Amino acid sequence: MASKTDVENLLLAADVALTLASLAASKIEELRKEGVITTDEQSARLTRVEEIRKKVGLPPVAPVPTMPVPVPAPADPTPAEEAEKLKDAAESQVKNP
Amino acid sequence: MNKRIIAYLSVVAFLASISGCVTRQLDPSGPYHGDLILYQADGVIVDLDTAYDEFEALAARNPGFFGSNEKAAALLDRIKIERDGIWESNEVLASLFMARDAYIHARDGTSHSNLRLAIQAARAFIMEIKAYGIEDRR
Repeated sequence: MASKTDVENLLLAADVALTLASLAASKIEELRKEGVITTDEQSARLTRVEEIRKKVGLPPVAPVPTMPVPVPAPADPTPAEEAEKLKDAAESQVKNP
Repeated sequence: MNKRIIAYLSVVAFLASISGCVTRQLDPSGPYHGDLILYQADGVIVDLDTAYDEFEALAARNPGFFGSNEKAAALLDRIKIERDGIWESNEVLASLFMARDAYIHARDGTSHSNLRLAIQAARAFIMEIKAYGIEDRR
């Protein structure tokens, strides 16, 4: 025949098992719900971000930042171009003294 | 009695272990369409704005401190520049917005990486601001 202590231990084990199962089930359900960021939460964040954008004066739809396009420096004239320029200048002086 | 305590402690440990394993996911039907990094970026924008608000309020409450502490005054000036409505690429908030918008326009590896860097820079700036003892209310 089982002693009083054995019965108590058995009841304790059953109690713990039931508590564990019950708590685990409710916790898993709670986490399943909490684990999803709802559409409302997402919309609220998006609205807040647009408010901040407006507050700091940024345009509502910001342009995509692009790298500045380097403007090539004018190349030094070649000796032939230089000679051509001098020739043109001399000719224009002859025409318009 | 001790057995009961040990048993219940094991239950608590079990539940804590479940909690630690769960990370929040976006509802894919929401406006972010499941894009977690974009949601995180927007969260950091909100945190940054809150930190600016709190720092400016701190400065308004403690004019003496800000008058005598050059570092704090410089940080306050920087925050004012951040919010002056002029878009500058070296500003933390503007950079984060730029990286965010670039990512929205072209979701590729580069824009993702740039957004991540902008988030890190913004978080570091928030930490710098909070070093002045502003309570984290979140």
